[in-house]
Amino acid sequence: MLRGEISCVEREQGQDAIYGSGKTSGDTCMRIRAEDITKKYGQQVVLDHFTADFCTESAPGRGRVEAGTGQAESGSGTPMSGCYLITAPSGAGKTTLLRILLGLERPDAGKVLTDGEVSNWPAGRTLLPLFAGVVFQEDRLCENFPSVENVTAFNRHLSRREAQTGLLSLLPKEALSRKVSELSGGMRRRVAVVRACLSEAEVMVLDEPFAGLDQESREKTLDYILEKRRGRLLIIASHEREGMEEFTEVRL
Amino acid sequence: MKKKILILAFWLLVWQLLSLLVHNPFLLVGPVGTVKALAGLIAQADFWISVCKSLFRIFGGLAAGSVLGILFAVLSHHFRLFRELAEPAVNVLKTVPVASFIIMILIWAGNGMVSFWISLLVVLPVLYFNTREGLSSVDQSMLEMAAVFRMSRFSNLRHIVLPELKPFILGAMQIAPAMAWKSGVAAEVIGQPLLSIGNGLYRSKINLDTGRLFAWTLVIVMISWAFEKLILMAVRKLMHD
Repeated sequence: MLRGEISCVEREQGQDAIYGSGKTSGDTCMRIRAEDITKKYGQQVVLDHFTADFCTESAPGRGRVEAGTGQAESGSGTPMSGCYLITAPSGAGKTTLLRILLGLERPDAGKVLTDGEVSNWPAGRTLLPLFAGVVFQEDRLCENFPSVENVTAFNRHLSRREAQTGLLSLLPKEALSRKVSELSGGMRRRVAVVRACLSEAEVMVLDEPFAGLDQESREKTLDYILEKRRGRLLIIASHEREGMEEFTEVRL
Repeated sequence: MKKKILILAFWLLVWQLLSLLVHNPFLLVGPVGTVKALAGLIAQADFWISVCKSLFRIFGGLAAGSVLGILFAVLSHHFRLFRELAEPAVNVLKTVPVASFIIMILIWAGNGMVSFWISLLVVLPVLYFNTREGLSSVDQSMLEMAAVFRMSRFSNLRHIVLPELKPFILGAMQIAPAMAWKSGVAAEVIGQPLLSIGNGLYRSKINLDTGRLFAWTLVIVMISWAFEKLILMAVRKLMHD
């Protein structure tokens, strides 16, 4: 369990151009708190009075945050500021927790606070409390569209060129113009990762982003995620810790 | 393909033999006689005017009925009150026999545009129910994903809703044109607007010209086939943009 009881410090904006077309980010400081969350499915208790804080400034005074990259200086044992890894064996509730944080599911007890405000779980057409770039467990891509469009459709300010560049860092050229339904599982996963990273969202929530990827692709994908993160809050759920040892671990 | 031609040739032969057997041009005219009558028909300007007028009216009814059907389906999908009010009405449209509608429309609106109205009324429920079903079966997990990413309405429509709606609308467009055409022509036969296919059909009956009757029927069937094919092609093209 993690408790990071530090209020977010206003970050310098610098030349923090996060998204293409020179759009500068606002203050990316963010804090999400899951408080006393309990969730049951029938008799099975998935989350039991779970509490955790996710904050872009996760450690007091530790790790200097460099404006522009958002990466903490990593010394040994110094967690990367704002990067969280939720570990648990499959089925233990990682996805459920993420869904609750995103506002897609209502817990049986407890609440979620986003930047101090209590999140509700809206039904119907109201806005979800969190604007997040998400990789879901199932890819949830637009099957009949090519990879490039699967990225540009989710960010109005992103040009085709920028989407292509992003995709090319993880995928072979031929995969770009082909329909997503024709790509392999590993390639689809990477498209989903690029989509989440290049969106204008204020948080990145990735559920098993490396599923179906071989070692090399996994490393490249993780590097890409960290590169595109630009200081945003990053929450990854994975049953493997490899490569993310410097993330703040949240164990269910 | 060859087999189809042979089968067609077989039935044409049977038809011709039957007509020779019956030996009564009032009762049965063979394919040869029909083609002869058709030749006489297409030489007349009135024939072409009638065909064009009927086509425009029926196609207009098809288009208007489709647009309204889709529109009502969208409204029903988003607004419960609208659905509760409109759906029973559309159900009535679906169940009332076409003949009753034809008589009603003749009383209300005269015979000029009867085929337009009947086509509209016949097509509307088809598009309505198909579109409704399509809209309610859009993948929830994709809509969830769009909500999380705060996808724009337009993008949502284009990338998620419309692709999933496509098979439903295509399905509707595979039966709607034929229904519109048949009901429209039937309306014309009953209503007898001047210079229409229905009118032409009826006149050949009055003149005891069975050959011409068959020729008109052939024209109706051919147009029906072409109508369906062309519209389906057009809709497919439209949805593949």
